Amino acid sequence: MAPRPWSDLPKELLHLIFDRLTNTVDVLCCGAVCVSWRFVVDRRKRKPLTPPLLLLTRSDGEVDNEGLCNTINVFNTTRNKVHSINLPQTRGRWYRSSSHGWLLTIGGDFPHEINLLNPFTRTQIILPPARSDFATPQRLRVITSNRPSDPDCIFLAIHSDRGKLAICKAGDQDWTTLIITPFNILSDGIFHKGQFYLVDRRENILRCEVIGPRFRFPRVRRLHLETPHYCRGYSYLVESRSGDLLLVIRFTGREQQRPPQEPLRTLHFEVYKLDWSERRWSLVENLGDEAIFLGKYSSISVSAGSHSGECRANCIYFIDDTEEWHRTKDPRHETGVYHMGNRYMRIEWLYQSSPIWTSPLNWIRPEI
Amino acid sequence: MSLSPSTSKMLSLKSSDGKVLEVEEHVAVLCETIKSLVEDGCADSPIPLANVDGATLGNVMEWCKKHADQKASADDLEDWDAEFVERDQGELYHLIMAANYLNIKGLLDLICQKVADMIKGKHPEKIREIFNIENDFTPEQQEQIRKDNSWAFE
Repeated sequence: MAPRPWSDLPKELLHLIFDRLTNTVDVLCCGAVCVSWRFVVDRRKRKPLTPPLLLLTRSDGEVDNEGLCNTINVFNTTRNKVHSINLPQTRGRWYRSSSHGWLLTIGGDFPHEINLLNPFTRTQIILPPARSDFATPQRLRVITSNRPSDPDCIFLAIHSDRGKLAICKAGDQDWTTLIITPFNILSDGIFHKGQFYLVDRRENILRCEVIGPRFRFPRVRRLHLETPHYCRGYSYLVESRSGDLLLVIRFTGREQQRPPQEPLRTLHFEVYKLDWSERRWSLVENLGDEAIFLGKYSSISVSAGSHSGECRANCIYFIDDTEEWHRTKDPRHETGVYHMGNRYMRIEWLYQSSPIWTSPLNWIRPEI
Repeated sequence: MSLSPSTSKMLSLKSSDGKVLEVEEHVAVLCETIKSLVEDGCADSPIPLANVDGATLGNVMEWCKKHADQKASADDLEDWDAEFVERDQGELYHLIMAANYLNIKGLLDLICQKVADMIKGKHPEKIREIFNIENDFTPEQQEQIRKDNSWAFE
């Protein structure tokens, strides 16, 4: 018998084993075992891992004033653990999640630098800086058409919920403004089947036509669809595992006899699927094997079955992502799980007075 | 050519340490490597399996026999498999190598899953201990890993 058989296991067998690991932490741990395991881990085909991690952002409006903070914090929901990731690239910058498990980082000084950073591989892409018409750079969101490192990637910046958008391609020197008229307050956005889609607070769906030759003549069109509720909850766009566009509406309210300064609570959810041929939304009663991790500009649908024990099928995992709440400096953050079948809701209040909790939370799904 | 149990004949398999095992053909052909030898008519008797020792060959054929049994239900097989892989890392190592050499996809999947399950939730130090792996990183590599990924291990 070889003296160290598991280190010298043929690479194709190590690949077969590591392919069965779906948790980021497990993959990274394997890469720290020995030289040959690290070699294989580094050369795995990159793929999204589940479950997503909860990205804890620093307080809105505070750009880590001392500039000393070299770490970001993520919460591993299934292992109930906060991890601090050493990332000097975030020092003195605002950050939030973008697409494909990348972080958007925004410099604190004008002109605000805008970078996309993969926190797990540390690859960084530099985007044009924020211009003076970027209203609130610390609230900027960027969603991408492809993996940010892809040379064909198009970046859509939402720099104000009041419908202020801009696009750029890799290597562009400046952002191109996109105009929405008329606009309502934007609620969420996603890249789906070759197009960017946005949803506003009145459940209107907007399509940003920016792909291909359209890039030079971008426009935003409203899709004329029946809206299920019209302005009664928070709307999110999610792509199902089978490639359908889902509209998830989160209904909130205040329990009776609770003081009005208390934050609203999540009461229930409705999920709709876009029927393109009928151009209408049809109610989805059951998510089947899928679990949706719901969060502004960061929603993800995953197959629960292939990750048994990590998350539950037919459930919506939701987080406090409302911008209003941070203004109250309320240290309580509502997170929870909603079961679509029995409509059972389990709320877990996260109490944390540290400023990292006083801004919206995002999901981040590592691709390593 | 029919490989059904009723017409199955016996094959002799010879392990690397010279042990000869008599196995029903319909069981042995779960190994794609053996199946192609049989189909091509190049199955010597006994078939020499230079990379599999006798004990491991016995274990592999035990798995093949169970999985060739058409009366076994899926639930039954699942329970049986779960018990089958309850082995120490040494035996699992020989099984994964044999399943790969003999090209038995079902067994290979089973062992890989078992090994992945043994890795899950463990720190690198613990993984090394379980699989008897030596830490062969240079101090510089170790420091780089610690800097980049220590969040995952702490």
